[in-house]
Amino acid sequence: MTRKRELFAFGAPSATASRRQALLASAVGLLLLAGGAAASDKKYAPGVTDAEIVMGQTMPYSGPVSFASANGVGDMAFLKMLNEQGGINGRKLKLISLDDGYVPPKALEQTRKLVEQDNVAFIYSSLGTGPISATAKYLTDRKVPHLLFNAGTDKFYSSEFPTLVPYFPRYAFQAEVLTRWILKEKPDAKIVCLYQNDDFGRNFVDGLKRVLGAKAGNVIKEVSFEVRDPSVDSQVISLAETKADIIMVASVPARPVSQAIRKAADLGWKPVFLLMPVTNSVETVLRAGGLENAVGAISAAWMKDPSDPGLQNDPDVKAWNAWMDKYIPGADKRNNSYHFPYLKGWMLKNILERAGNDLSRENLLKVANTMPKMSLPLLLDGITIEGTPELRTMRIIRFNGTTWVPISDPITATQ
Amino acid sequence: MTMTGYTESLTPAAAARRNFGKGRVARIGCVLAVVALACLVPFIGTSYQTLQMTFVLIYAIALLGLNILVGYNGQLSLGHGAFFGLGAYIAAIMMHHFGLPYWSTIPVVAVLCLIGGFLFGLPALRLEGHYLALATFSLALAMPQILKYPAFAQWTGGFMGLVISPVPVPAGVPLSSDQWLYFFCLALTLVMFLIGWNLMRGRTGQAIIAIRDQPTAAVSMGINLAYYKSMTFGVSAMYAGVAGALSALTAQFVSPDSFDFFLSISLLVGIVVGGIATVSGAIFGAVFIQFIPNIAEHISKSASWAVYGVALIGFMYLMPQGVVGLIRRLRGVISGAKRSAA
Repeated sequence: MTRKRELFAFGAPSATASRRQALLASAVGLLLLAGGAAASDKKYAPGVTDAEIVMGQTMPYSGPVSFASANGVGDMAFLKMLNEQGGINGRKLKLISLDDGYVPPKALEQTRKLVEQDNVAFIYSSLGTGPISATAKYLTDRKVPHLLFNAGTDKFYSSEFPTLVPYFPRYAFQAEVLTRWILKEKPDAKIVCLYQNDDFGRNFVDGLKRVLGAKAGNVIKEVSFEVRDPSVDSQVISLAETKADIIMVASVPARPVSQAIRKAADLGWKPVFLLMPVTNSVETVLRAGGLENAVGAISAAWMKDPSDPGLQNDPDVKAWNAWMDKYIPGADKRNNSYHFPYLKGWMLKNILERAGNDLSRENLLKVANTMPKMSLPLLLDGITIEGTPELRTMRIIRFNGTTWVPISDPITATQ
Repeated sequence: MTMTGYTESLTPAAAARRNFGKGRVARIGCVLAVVALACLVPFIGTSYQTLQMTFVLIYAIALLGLNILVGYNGQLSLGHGAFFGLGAYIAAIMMHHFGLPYWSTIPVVAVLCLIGGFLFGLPALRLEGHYLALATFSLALAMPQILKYPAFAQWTGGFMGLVISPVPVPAGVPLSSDQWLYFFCLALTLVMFLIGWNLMRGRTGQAIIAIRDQPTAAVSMGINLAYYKSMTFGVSAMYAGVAGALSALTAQFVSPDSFDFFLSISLLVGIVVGGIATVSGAIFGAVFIQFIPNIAEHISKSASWAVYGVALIGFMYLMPQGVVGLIRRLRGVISGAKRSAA
């Protein structure tokens, strides 16, 4: 389907030749394996056999952020598709996805069950800062890889946790790219922040001020809200009094962003809305706030939003739609918790394919951290990964009243 | 609910005298057998199962404390998760910021939570029944936000929580870290149960129960209502705090999300399932809140909490007085059958 893009579409010409040779060599290797000549090279982690690779994850199927557990449903659906296509190197993929209720000690308990009782080869994309924090040290001590974990909190990207393999752009990168746009286009603008009172919101506000550096004084007001709050109207009213030029809204759920857009318009305040990549969906965020009120909003993006009305003829989006219709029929396609598993799934497929028959935990980690330069389905044009699967490149996008339009070349985060 | 424990303990005096020696020996034998069995757990089970049983012990301590308050003293608390969290954070801060050894945290947590619970109890206990429940409810709701509050973040770690180093196994002890921690928790559980059992069978216990059953009569007999109620609250908070500290040592991590409102409700479910106003019920309740959610998830992933709910209703229907109530009833039936056979 999108294989040609997936493999080295952005490789430099000189590098392509040697890669081709490498590919050829590995193809020959595979043939030899098929003949049984190299059968002794097989190295298996627990949970891996000739027929199967077992992996595990924990998800908040219950609890305060259960809306995000669609990620687990999406992961399952992607693996189902891979299995129907014959699995990877002849092995079927099995994912054991357990509920952690977003409670860190429960996540640790369930993760230990996965590792010690269910004998999974690795953890695949557990979700949330708390659960990942609670399990990071255990997985590091046990040398169990946690591939493509699902959070952007900065501390997980450090060498303190060598078995954690990221894919999501860390919050600091997202904040940096957005802030660099401010410094370039509106260096003297007065800025206010409306942020979710947790690590997500704080990471963005701190990141903004860090990159502003000497201009951090331009941030003239910060107001927080709780995810449970039914409305952010009072916060927006207090921010509107500043008549600031830019409002940064850092929220994971869509509703507070929509409310802020609508309330600002009601008050006759017309700042530029700086929206987070996870909450910039036209359908779930902007429409509820009033498309006309959101014109001129700025955000950053690394992937296409398959629900964006302007992208419905894009081949990637069509393929994604077909996948959704077949494997998760009836699901709300606007929910971005179904977008990420698809992107991530192609990364996992590539990692497992390249690991070949050396499916030891050491090799899985090594392969996962040495991705060839590649684009992936649903990534924006010009966005690639290389080395670790972490996305470090984004484009600034601007809302024109109907769809998001890229207004910058890909920007690579530096911090 | 309030009468069950009391009436059950009022067996006819003559029968009690006759069975005193025999019953006591049987009881002590039973306790020793359970302890011996508990000592075998880490050698029979995998390290993961040992971890689960460690959590059972921790919940049992918290449930005993809550049962002293709710079952014996008749005060409803919806906020014991907050004291559980307080204990966990005190232990984590002591270890993370001051580098103190893990065992030193337990007495400090016990004293601080006793004082904290007592002080919370003083004003709150002017409130009766439902109103007290709401006051404790607000405590449970506020706890995660207090822990996140930026001014305390340098101590609490804010949203990110605190990571604490694993409990070290003393040199020369041939146990794994999981096994050692299990025995550490088991020892503390025994101590806490001994304290609880001693407290409830003595004068203080009688006063606590009297306040539940007949507050007016209790006052007229010279029991200081406010003191006993606050003290009961303090003791109960101490149990929750010690359990919280042990949970922090076990999870090696504390964060505001670990101690949400649901924990408080789980604890309440635990004492009702185990048996209100019973000491041993805490163990059965702990087994329930540790294992039933996992079993429910195993049965149905998409409706695990519905399965949990059905299990809970089933328990309440079959054992309206908790597991201990059922055991007592069965014992009554068996001894009745014996008597009629003789």
